[in-house]
Amino acid sequence: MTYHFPAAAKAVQGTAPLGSPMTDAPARKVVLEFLDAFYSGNIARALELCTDDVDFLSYAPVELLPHLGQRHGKQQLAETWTTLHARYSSMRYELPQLVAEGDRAACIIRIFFRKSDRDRILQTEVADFYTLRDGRIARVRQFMDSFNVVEQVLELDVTALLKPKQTG
Amino acid sequence: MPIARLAICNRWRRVPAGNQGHKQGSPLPENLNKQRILDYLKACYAGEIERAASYYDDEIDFIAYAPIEIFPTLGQKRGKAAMTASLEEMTRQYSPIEYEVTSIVAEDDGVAVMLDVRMCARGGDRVINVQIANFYTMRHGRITIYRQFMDSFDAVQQKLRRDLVDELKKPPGSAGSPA
Repeated sequence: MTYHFPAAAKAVQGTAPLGSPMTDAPARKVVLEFLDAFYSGNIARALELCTDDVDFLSYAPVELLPHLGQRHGKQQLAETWTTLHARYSSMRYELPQLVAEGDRAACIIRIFFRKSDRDRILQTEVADFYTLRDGRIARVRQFMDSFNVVEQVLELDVTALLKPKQTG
Repeated sequence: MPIARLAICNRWRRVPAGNQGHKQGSPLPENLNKQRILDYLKACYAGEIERAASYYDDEIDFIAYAPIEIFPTLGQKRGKAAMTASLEEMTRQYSPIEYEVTSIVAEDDGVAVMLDVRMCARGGDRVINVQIANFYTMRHGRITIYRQFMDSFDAVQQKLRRDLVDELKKPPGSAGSPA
Protein backbone atom coordinates (compact mmCIF):
# COMPACT_ATOMS: atom_id res chain seq x y z
CA MET A 1 0.00 0.00 0.00
CA THR A 2 1.29 3.46 -0.86
CA TYR A 3 0.66 6.57 1.19
CA HIS A 4 0.89 10.09 -0.11
CA PHE A 5 1.80 12.94 2.16
CA PRO A 6 2.49 16.62 1.74
CA ALA A 7 6.14 17.52 1.43
CA ALA A 8 7.85 17.82 4.76
CA ALA A 9 8.65 21.39 5.74
CA LYS A 10 9.19 21.03 9.42
CA ALA A 11 11.85 22.46 11.62
CA VAL A 12 13.55 19.48 13.16
CA GLN A 13 16.12 19.14 15.85
CA GLY A 14 17.07 15.80 17.24
CA THR A 15 19.68 15.44 19.91
CA ALA A 16 21.48 12.31 20.87
CA PRO A 17 20.73 11.21 24.42
CA LEU A 18 23.43 12.47 26.71
CA GLY A 19 25.63 9.88 28.28
CA SER A 20 23.96 6.96 26.55
CA PRO A 21 26.50 4.66 24.98
CA MET A 22 25.66 3.16 21.63
CA THR A 23 24.79 -0.51 21.77
CA ASP A 24 24.05 -3.08 19.15
CA ALA A 25 20.42 -3.39 20.25
CA PRO A 26 18.45 -3.51 16.97
CA ALA A 27 15.72 -1.39 18.48
CA ARG A 28 18.03 1.59 19.02
CA LYS A 29 18.77 2.23 15.35
CA VAL A 30 15.17 1.71 14.26
CA VAL A 31 13.70 3.94 16.95
CA LEU A 32 16.20 6.74 16.29
CA GLU A 33 15.39 6.62 12.58
CA PHE A 34 11.68 6.46 13.31
CA LEU A 35 11.79 9.54 15.55
CA ASP A 36 13.83 11.48 13.04
CA ALA A 37 11.40 10.61 10.25
CA PHE A 38 8.25 11.28 12.26
CA TYR A 39 9.25 14.64 13.70
CA SER A 40 10.62 15.83 10.35
CA GLY A 41 7.22 15.17 8.79
CA ASN A 42 8.37 12.19 6.74
CA ILE A 43 5.36 10.10 7.69
CA ALA A 44 5.88 7.69 4.82
CA ARG A 45 9.31 6.74 6.12
CA ALA A 46 8.04 6.52 9.70
CA LEU A 47 5.35 4.10 8.55
CA GLU A 48 7.88 2.02 6.63
CA LEU A 49 9.56 1.36 9.94
CA CYS A 50 6.32 -0.06 11.40
CA THR A 51 4.72 -3.46 10.86
CA ASP A 52 1.46 -3.60 8.89
CA ASP A 53 -0.45 -4.43 12.06
CA VAL A 54 1.32 -1.91 14.29
CA ASP A 55 -0.51 -1.41 17.60
CA PHE A 56 -0.25 2.15 18.93
CA LEU A 57 -1.71 3.30 22.24
CA SER A 58 -1.29 6.71 23.79
CA TYR A 59 -2.75 7.07 27.27
CA ALA A 60 -4.74 10.30 27.12
CA PRO A 61 -8.35 11.50 27.04
CA VAL A 62 -9.34 10.92 23.42
CA GLU A 63 -12.47 13.08 23.77
CA LEU A 64 -10.18 16.10 24.21
CA LEU A 65 -7.10 14.88 22.33
CA PRO A 66 -8.58 12.84 19.46
CA HIS A 67 -5.24 12.28 17.71
CA LEU A 68 -4.15 10.15 20.65
CA GLY A 69 -5.72 6.98 22.07
CA GLN A 70 -5.45 3.66 20.24
CA ARG A 71 -4.69 3.01 16.57
CA HIS A 72 -4.35 -0.31 14.76
CA GLY A 73 -2.46 -0.67 11.50
CA LYS A 74 -0.63 1.68 9.19
CA GLN A 75 -3.73 3.19 7.61
CA GLN A 76 -5.11 4.47 10.92
CA LEU A 77 -1.71 5.76 11.95
CA ALA A 78 -1.21 7.47 8.61
CA GLU A 79 -4.50 9.33 8.93
CA THR A 80 -3.82 10.34 12.52
CA TRP A 81 -0.27 11.48 11.91
CA THR A 82 -1.23 13.44 8.82
CA THR A 83 -3.88 15.30 10.84
CA LEU A 84 -1.43 15.91 13.64
CA HIS A 85 1.21 17.36 11.34
CA ALA A 86 -1.40 19.60 9.75
CA ARG A 87 -2.32 21.05 13.14
CA TYR A 88 1.27 21.93 13.98
CA SER A 89 3.38 23.96 11.59
CA SER A 90 6.66 22.82 13.04
CA MET A 91 7.84 20.06 15.29
CA ARG A 92 11.09 19.84 17.16
CA TYR A 93 12.28 17.23 19.60
CA GLU A 94 15.07 16.38 21.97
CA LEU A 95 15.86 12.94 23.32
CA PRO A 96 17.04 13.13 26.95
CA GLN A 97 17.02 9.37 27.47
CA LEU A 98 16.92 6.25 25.32
CA VAL A 99 17.20 2.73 26.69
CA ALA A 100 17.42 -0.17 24.24
CA GLU A 101 17.62 -3.89 24.86
CA GLY A 102 17.23 -6.44 22.08
CA ASP A 103 13.99 -5.78 20.23
CA ARG A 104 12.65 -3.30 22.80
CA ALA A 105 13.38 0.33 23.46
CA ALA A 106 12.02 3.06 25.68
CA CYS A 107 12.71 6.76 25.51
CA ILE A 108 11.83 10.13 26.91
CA ILE A 109 11.11 12.66 24.19
CA ARG A 110 10.93 16.40 24.82
CA ILE A 111 8.66 17.82 22.13
CA PHE A 112 8.05 21.35 20.90
CA PHE A 113 5.04 21.71 18.57
CA ARG A 114 4.11 25.07 17.06
CA LYS A 115 0.38 25.42 16.48
CA SER A 116 -0.51 26.09 12.85
CA ASP A 117 -3.36 28.50 13.56
CA ARG A 118 -1.64 30.70 16.15
CA ASP A 119 1.74 31.54 17.53
CA ARG A 120 1.73 29.08 20.42
CA ILE A 121 4.17 26.34 21.28
CA LEU A 122 3.05 23.13 22.93
CA GLN A 123 5.91 21.77 24.98
CA THR A 124 5.92 18.59 27.00
CA GLU A 125 7.81 15.39 27.68
CA VAL A 126 6.57 12.08 26.37
CA ALA A 127 7.60 8.53 27.27
CA ASP A 128 7.45 5.93 24.52
CA PHE A 129 7.91 2.16 24.79
CA TYR A 130 8.58 0.33 21.52
CA THR A 131 8.51 -3.38 20.72
CA LEU A 132 9.97 -4.52 17.41
CA ARG A 133 9.14 -7.57 15.32
CA ASP A 134 11.34 -8.56 12.40
CA GLY A 135 13.15 -5.24 12.64
CA ARG A 136 10.03 -3.08 12.54
CA ILE A 137 8.02 -1.34 15.21
CA ALA A 138 5.04 -3.54 16.09
CA ARG A 139 3.87 -1.95 19.32
CA VAL A 140 4.03 1.52 20.82
CA ARG A 141 2.85 2.57 24.25
CA GLN A 142 2.96 6.29 24.93
CA PHE A 143 2.69 8.18 28.22
CA MET A 144 2.53 11.89 28.95
CA ASP A 145 1.32 14.39 31.50
CA SER A 146 -2.05 14.44 29.76
CA PHE A 147 -3.50 16.89 32.28
CA ASN A 148 -0.87 19.43 31.32
CA VAL A 149 -1.24 18.69 27.62
CA VAL A 150 -5.00 19.28 27.83
CA GLU A 151 -4.31 22.61 29.52
CA GLN A 152 -1.88 23.60 26.77
CA VAL A 153 -4.10 22.44 23.91
CA LEU A 154 -7.28 24.02 25.26
CA GLU A 155 -5.35 26.99 26.67
CA LEU A 156 -7.24 26.62 29.92
CA ASP A 157 -6.11 26.51 33.54
CA VAL A 158 -7.93 23.31 34.40
CA THR A 159 -6.40 23.22 37.88
CA ALA A 160 -8.04 26.55 38.67
CA LEU A 161 -11.38 25.25 37.43
CA LEU A 162 -11.14 22.32 39.82
CA LYS A 163 -10.50 24.28 42.99
CA PRO A 164 -14.08 25.18 44.01
CA LYS A 165 -15.23 21.55 43.90
CA GLN A 166 -12.02 19.89 44.99
CA THR A 167 -12.53 17.32 47.70
CA GLY A 168 -8.92 16.09 48.01
CA MET B 1 -10.33 -7.07 38.68
CA PRO B 2 -7.32 -7.09 41.00
CA ILE B 3 -3.94 -7.13 39.39
CA ALA B 4 -1.84 -10.12 40.35
CA ARG B 5 1.16 -9.19 42.38
CA LEU B 6 4.39 -9.46 40.49
CA ALA B 7 5.42 -13.08 40.69
CA ILE B 8 8.66 -12.70 38.80
CA CYS B 9 10.26 -10.87 41.73
CA ASN B 10 10.27 -14.07 43.74
CA ARG B 11 12.42 -15.75 41.14
CA TRP B 12 15.03 -13.02 41.14
CA ARG B 13 17.94 -13.11 43.47
CA ARG B 14 17.67 -10.30 45.97
CA VAL B 15 20.51 -7.85 45.33
CA PRO B 16 21.47 -5.30 47.95
CA ALA B 17 21.54 -1.68 46.90
CA GLY B 18 24.93 -0.17 46.43
CA ASN B 19 27.83 -0.89 44.20
CA GLN B 20 29.16 -3.89 46.03
CA GLY B 21 31.68 -5.89 44.08
CA HIS B 22 32.06 -3.36 41.27
CA LYS B 23 34.66 -0.72 40.66
CA GLN B 24 33.39 2.81 40.27
CA GLY B 25 32.89 3.71 36.63
CA SER B 26 33.07 0.15 35.36
CA PRO B 27 30.09 -1.09 33.40
CA LEU B 28 27.65 -3.14 35.45
CA PRO B 29 26.54 -6.59 34.41
CA GLU B 30 23.62 -6.34 32.02
CA ASN B 31 20.82 -7.32 34.36
CA LEU B 32 22.04 -6.05 37.70
CA ASN B 33 20.31 -2.69 37.50
CA LYS B 34 17.19 -4.39 36.19
CA GLN B 35 17.22 -6.65 39.24
CA ARG B 36 17.72 -3.69 41.53
CA ILE B 37 14.75 -1.85 40.07
CA LEU B 38 12.51 -4.89 40.35
CA ASP B 39 13.56 -5.26 43.98
CA TYR B 40 13.01 -1.55 44.54
CA LEU B 41 9.49 -1.71 43.13
CA LYS B 42 8.67 -4.69 45.30
CA ALA B 43 9.79 -2.86 48.45
CA CYS B 44 8.20 0.41 47.39
CA TYR B 45 4.71 -0.97 46.78
CA ALA B 46 4.86 -3.30 49.79
CA GLY B 47 5.31 -0.25 52.00
CA GLU B 48 8.83 -1.27 53.05
CA ILE B 49 9.99 2.33 53.28
CA GLU B 50 13.46 1.76 54.67
CA ARG B 51 14.30 -0.91 52.16
CA ALA B 52 12.90 1.10 49.25
CA ALA B 53 14.81 4.18 50.37
CA SER B 54 18.06 2.19 50.38
CA TYR B 55 17.89 2.29 46.58
CA TYR B 56 17.86 6.10 46.49
CA ASP B 57 21.02 8.05 45.86
CA ASP B 58 21.48 10.84 48.41
CA GLU B 59 21.04 13.37 45.59
CA ILE B 60 18.18 11.65 43.79
CA ASP B 61 16.35 13.89 41.33
CA PHE B 62 12.72 12.81 40.91
CA ILE B 63 10.00 14.25 38.71
CA ALA B 64 6.53 12.74 38.30
CA TYR B 65 4.66 14.63 35.63
CA ALA B 66 1.29 15.29 37.24
CA PRO B 67 -0.49 18.26 38.87
CA ILE B 68 0.93 18.61 42.37
CA GLU B 69 -2.18 20.48 43.51
CA ILE B 70 -4.04 17.18 43.18
CA PHE B 71 -1.15 14.79 43.86
CA PRO B 72 1.21 16.43 46.40
CA THR B 73 3.39 13.31 46.59
CA LEU B 74 4.26 13.72 42.91
CA GLY B 75 5.87 16.63 41.06
CA GLN B 76 9.55 17.29 41.74
CA LYS B 77 11.49 15.94 44.72
CA ARG B 78 15.18 16.36 45.35
CA GLY B 79 17.24 14.30 47.74
CA LYS B 80 16.75 11.06 49.58
CA ALA B 81 14.93 12.65 52.51
CA ALA B 82 12.30 14.26 50.29
CA MET B 83 11.77 11.05 48.36
CA THR B 84 11.45 8.99 51.51
CA ALA B 85 8.92 11.43 52.95
CA SER B 86 6.94 11.28 49.74
CA LEU B 87 6.96 7.49 49.82
CA GLU B 88 5.81 7.51 53.44
CA GLU B 89 2.95 9.82 52.56
CA MET B 90 1.90 7.61 49.66
CA THR B 91 1.88 4.59 51.96
CA ARG B 92 -0.17 6.52 54.52
CA GLN B 93 -2.76 7.37 51.88
CA TYR B 94 -2.91 4.11 49.94
CA SER B 95 -2.79 0.49 51.01
CA PRO B 96 -2.72 -2.05 49.61
CA ILE B 97 -0.95 -1.11 46.40
CA GLU B 98 -0.83 -3.85 43.79
CA TYR B 99 1.24 -3.68 40.64
CA GLU B 100 2.26 -5.63 37.59
CA VAL B 101 5.35 -4.92 35.53
CA THR B 102 4.27 -5.12 31.88
CA SER B 103 7.63 -4.24 30.33
CA ILE B 104 11.17 -3.58 31.51
CA VAL B 105 14.12 -2.46 29.40
CA ALA B 106 17.64 -2.05 30.75
CA GLU B 107 20.85 -0.80 29.22
CA ASP B 108 23.96 0.13 31.18
CA ASP B 109 22.88 2.64 33.83
CA GLY B 110 19.39 3.16 32.39
CA VAL B 111 16.25 1.19 33.22
CA ALA B 112 12.75 1.85 31.89
CA VAL B 113 9.69 0.14 33.35
CA MET B 114 6.07 0.11 32.33
CA LEU B 115 3.63 -1.03 35.00
CA ASP B 116 -0.03 -1.22 35.91
CA VAL B 117 -0.72 0.01 39.43
CA ARG B 118 -3.85 -0.37 41.54
CA MET B 119 -3.92 1.83 44.65
CA CYS B 120 -6.59 1.45 47.31
CA ALA B 121 -7.19 4.49 49.51
CA ARG B 122 -7.04 3.73 53.21
CA GLY B 123 -10.34 3.93 55.04
CA GLY B 124 -12.44 4.20 51.94
CA ASP B 125 -13.57 2.50 48.80
CA ARG B 126 -11.61 4.71 46.43
CA VAL B 127 -9.37 2.82 44.02
CA ILE B 128 -7.03 4.36 41.46
CA ASN B 129 -5.91 2.25 38.50
CA VAL B 130 -3.14 3.76 36.46
CA GLN B 131 -0.55 2.74 33.91
CA ILE B 132 2.85 4.22 34.72
CA ALA B 133 6.15 4.60 32.87
CA ASN B 134 9.24 4.97 35.04
CA PHE B 135 12.71 5.87 33.80
CA TYR B 136 15.64 5.36 36.14
CA THR B 137 19.26 6.39 35.84
CA MET B 138 21.51 4.51 38.24
CA ARG B 139 24.74 5.69 39.83
CA HIS B 140 26.82 3.27 41.87
CA GLY B 141 23.84 0.94 42.08
CA ARG B 142 21.37 3.51 43.34
CA ILE B 143 18.67 5.58 41.65
CA THR B 144 19.97 9.06 40.94
CA ILE B 145 17.50 10.28 38.29
CA TYR B 146 13.88 9.12 38.33
CA ARG B 147 11.21 10.25 35.85
CA GLN B 148 7.61 9.11 36.05
CA PHE B 149 4.87 9.46 33.44
CA MET B 150 1.19 8.60 33.54
CA ASP B 151 -2.14 9.59 32.06
CA SER B 152 -2.42 12.30 34.69
CA PHE B 153 -5.76 13.55 33.39
CA ASP B 154 -7.32 10.15 34.03
CA ALA B 155 -5.60 9.89 37.42
CA VAL B 156 -7.06 13.25 38.47
CA GLN B 157 -10.52 12.15 37.37
CA GLN B 158 -10.23 8.98 39.42
CA LYS B 159 -8.95 10.77 42.50
CA LEU B 160 -11.60 13.51 42.39
CA ARG B 161 -14.30 11.19 41.09
CA ARG B 162 -15.25 13.76 38.49
CA ASP B 163 -15.87 13.49 34.77
CA LEU B 164 -13.62 16.33 33.68
CA VAL B 165 -14.05 15.55 30.00
CA ASP B 166 -17.73 16.31 30.28
CA GLU B 167 -17.05 19.48 32.26
CA LEU B 168 -14.41 20.75 29.86
CA LYS B 169 -16.51 20.13 26.80
CA LYS B 170 -19.09 22.62 27.99
CA PRO B 171 -17.42 25.19 30.25
CA PRO B 172 -19.29 28.51 30.19
CA GLY B 173 -17.56 31.05 27.97
CA SER B 174 -14.74 28.69 27.15
CA ALA B 175 -12.75 29.15 23.98
CA GLY B 176 -11.38 25.66 24.31
CA SER B 177 -11.89 23.01 21.70
CA PRO B 178 -10.41 19.61 21.14
CA ALA B 179 -7.02 19.58 19.42
